[in-house]
Amino acid sequence: MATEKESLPQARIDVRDVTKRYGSTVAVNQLTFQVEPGRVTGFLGPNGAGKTTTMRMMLGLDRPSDGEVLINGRPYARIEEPLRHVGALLDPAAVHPGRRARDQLLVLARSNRIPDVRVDEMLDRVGLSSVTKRRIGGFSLGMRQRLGLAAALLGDPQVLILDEPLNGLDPEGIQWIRKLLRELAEDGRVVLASSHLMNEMAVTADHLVIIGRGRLLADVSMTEFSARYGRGRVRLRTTRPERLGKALAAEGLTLTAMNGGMWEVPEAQPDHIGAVAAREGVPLQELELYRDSLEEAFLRMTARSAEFTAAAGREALI
Amino acid sequence: MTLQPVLYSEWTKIRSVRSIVWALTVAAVLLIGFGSFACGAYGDGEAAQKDFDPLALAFWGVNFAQVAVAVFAMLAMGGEYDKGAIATSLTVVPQRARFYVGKLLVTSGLSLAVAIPATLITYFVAQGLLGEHGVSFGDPGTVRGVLSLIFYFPLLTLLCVGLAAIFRTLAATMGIFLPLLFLVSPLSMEVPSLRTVAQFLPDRAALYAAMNLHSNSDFVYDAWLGLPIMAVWTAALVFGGWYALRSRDA
Repeated sequence: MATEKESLPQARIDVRDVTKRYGSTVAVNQLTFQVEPGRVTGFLGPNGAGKTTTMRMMLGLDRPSDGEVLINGRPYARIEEPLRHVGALLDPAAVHPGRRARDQLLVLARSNRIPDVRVDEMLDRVGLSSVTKRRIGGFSLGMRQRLGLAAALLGDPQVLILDEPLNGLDPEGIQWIRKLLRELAEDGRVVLASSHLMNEMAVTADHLVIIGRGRLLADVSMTEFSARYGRGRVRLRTTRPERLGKALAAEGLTLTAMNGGMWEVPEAQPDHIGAVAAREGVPLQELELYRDSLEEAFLRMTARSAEFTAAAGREALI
Repeated sequence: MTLQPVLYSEWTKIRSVRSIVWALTVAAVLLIGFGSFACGAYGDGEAAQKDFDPLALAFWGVNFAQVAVAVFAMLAMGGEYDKGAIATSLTVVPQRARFYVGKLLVTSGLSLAVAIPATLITYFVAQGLLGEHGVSFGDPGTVRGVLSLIFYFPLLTLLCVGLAAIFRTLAATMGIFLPLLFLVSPLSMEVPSLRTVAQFLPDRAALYAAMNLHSNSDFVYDAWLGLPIMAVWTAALVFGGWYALRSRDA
């Protein structure tokens, strides 16, 4: 059996039925999803949802208690010179503070036979070329993030696994990373970026993988997510709320008092409310549609998962 | 599948952190400096004593140098765990055996590279200062002493890298092992009831082999066995470190 054909497999990340237990705590619970190339995938979940654990399992740092994670079809630990295939950004503070920025990248590059000249190119690309001789201990969080990204890009990898890449950046830095992630995805790379803030991802990601309590909550495109979860609410002002409330209740809607004399009807459309008011002869002084922000939708979804998980106990429910 | 890039990377890692480079430099300076000082200042007085041992005087500095060697090794390996840099290291070299072997080879190689000149310089300076009271390489005890001292450096380095891999924090490794090496182990030799056991401790065994021209009647084994005893400890801790590194999440 001679040649195992070294055909370049399609770049992708496969999380297959992965569970991670720490003692009796289940950090990741039967998680399955794929990350496809050519788009930015936002990996979302509240703090403690299991995002970092999942990413560490992708990188072979933590071993799954069950299931497996494959990168381009094989476990990470079996990839030779992994920097050339996978770029990772984990905790940006996890560097020796006494080492100079350029030396830090040289250490990484040389372990994967990446030429030194590439180090200077990447320092330039992330905008750190003026501080290459400075010790990392004196770097701001933003500068460490940039250095971490330079490290991730060293080997020109097809797969990028970035844990909270927008964390600690100023607005200009956030803009810059967004643009970078978009470019990398447009090149046909796999780009997975985690965040605990929906707003960070709403304008960055094309696709979302949302987890809560270690379980998959959603694996949807950004467009689909906003359509499905960005629910409308109608806010209004009226002199006869009792009558309107009764009429809306008959339609299966609820009228709730807000402060400032405003009233709100969740999950409704203004034309519907207007028609009901006209039929009942209720005068309206204001009528306006509010869309939930995606952040609210995300919070609602993850909050429900928390209650749900608590109620369901240890019973596995998919 | 080659080890060479990992060795190059590990070498770059050590070279680029001042404290690690300094620790090894200080080890050489302490060995040469204290040995020369002892021979120069106390050579004649000591030589008049009937249990005078020129190797003990010449290599006196190893008592201090060994701490610097241990610090060097602990910084090199324990530093990986200190800020969580181990995650980055194992991301770029996910084959943990390769990472560990690379770390062991580079640290012990550097240690050996420093030990050879430092020991020989110490030896010749001491011989010059002791003059007629000195020894020559013709005496088999001398060859054993010099070789034991040279190999004590890399063995102690390997042992400490293993320890750091087991404890997985720099502070705990240093906090537990440095006092043991510097205080508990030498002091326990002064307690008669403990001496029989304490002489089998790694540092005592190695120093016995390095610092005695003749076998000492306080010891139940021959001075030639000092280094092998040290090597057994080293092997045990290196394997312990490998077990921890292989089986635990990084």
